[in-house]
Amino acid sequence: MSKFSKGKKRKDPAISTAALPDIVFMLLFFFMVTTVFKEKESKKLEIDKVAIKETIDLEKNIKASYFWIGRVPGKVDDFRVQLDDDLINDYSEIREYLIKLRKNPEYSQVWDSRFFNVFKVDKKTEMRIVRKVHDELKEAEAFKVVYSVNREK
Amino acid sequence: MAKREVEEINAGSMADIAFLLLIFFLITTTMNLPQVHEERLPQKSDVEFLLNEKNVLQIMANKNDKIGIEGEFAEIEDIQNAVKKFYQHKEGTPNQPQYIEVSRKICEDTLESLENALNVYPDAPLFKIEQDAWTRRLDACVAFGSGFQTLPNNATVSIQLDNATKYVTYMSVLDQIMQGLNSLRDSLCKDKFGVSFERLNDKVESDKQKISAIRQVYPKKIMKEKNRSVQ
Repeated sequence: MSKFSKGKKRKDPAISTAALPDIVFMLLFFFMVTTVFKEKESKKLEIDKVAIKETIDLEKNIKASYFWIGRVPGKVDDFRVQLDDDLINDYSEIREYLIKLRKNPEYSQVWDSRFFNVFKVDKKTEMRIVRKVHDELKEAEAFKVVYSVNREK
Repeated sequence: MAKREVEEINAGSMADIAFLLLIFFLITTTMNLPQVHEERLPQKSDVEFLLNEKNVLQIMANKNDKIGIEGEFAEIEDIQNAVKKFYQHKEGTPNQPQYIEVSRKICEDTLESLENALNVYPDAPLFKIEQDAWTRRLDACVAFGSGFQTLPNNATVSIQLDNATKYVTYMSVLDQIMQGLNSLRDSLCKDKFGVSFERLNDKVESDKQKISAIRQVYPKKIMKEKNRSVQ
């Protein structure tokens, strides 16, 4: 008489799951690396981007403020400027916003090297609007501008 | 007789396989960086620059997005050739800028006299800018192994836009200028270094020197003129 019955159904040994973390980590890393964050897009304005041939890559690890200039959806010729999250009502808000931004040490340290003003502008925008924004940038001493475009093949 | 026990599968090498795959994807995946055109805004200043007509290539766009080059109507594709001609033309062509000669000796002499000037006026910003410029030119001479000709400091492509000009026109004008400039840079690069300009990688130190040298010969010089109504 024994405690264990012998010779009956025998279970297969459990499959080792030691490698499971590796697989999971691999997948994790894979998605971490391949994920390209969708370029920030404006929810408030419609923008039809320009396509040109000679473009350069936007540098990595930059600090940036984003300017969108485009049409208010549903309206015909109502071009507005959006700075980061909010629509601008008066151009001088841009200056105030940037000067405030610069007080933050995170920004002030890289202001002349890695701080960019990224413009996403609708094709049909008149230059007067772009100019007014530029004038505000000069007032705030933020001189680096990049225009986000599509690359024409 | 009892069945033989199934041996456990050795999973020790699983990690190796996983890492192999990981590294494979790490290497082969490329990220698409956003494409941009970069521009530096000028300092705010009320000083009017007096420019020699000869040293300016004037490009205009009016409110109907029509293009003018040096005061005459033109197609947008003509800008490219005008830019090429502006940067590279036969010495003494009328209405085109005069080149300045740059050679190793000229660079060294100029740097020496700037050094002396800086000893007298240590805070003169203009001298420091000049010093930087000539240092870069000297580096370019070393990279090419010979001297070269380039446009004078005050030569520039000038863009005049109307307030009602469309943004797309501005971008196309900039694109045309860069296309003209980059094709000149490309042929110089092939001539001097045997590779195309696009293939140079600014992350590699030796390539970086080449890029900088070529930019000394064909610098990007674009000036935007103040608001003005363009006919």
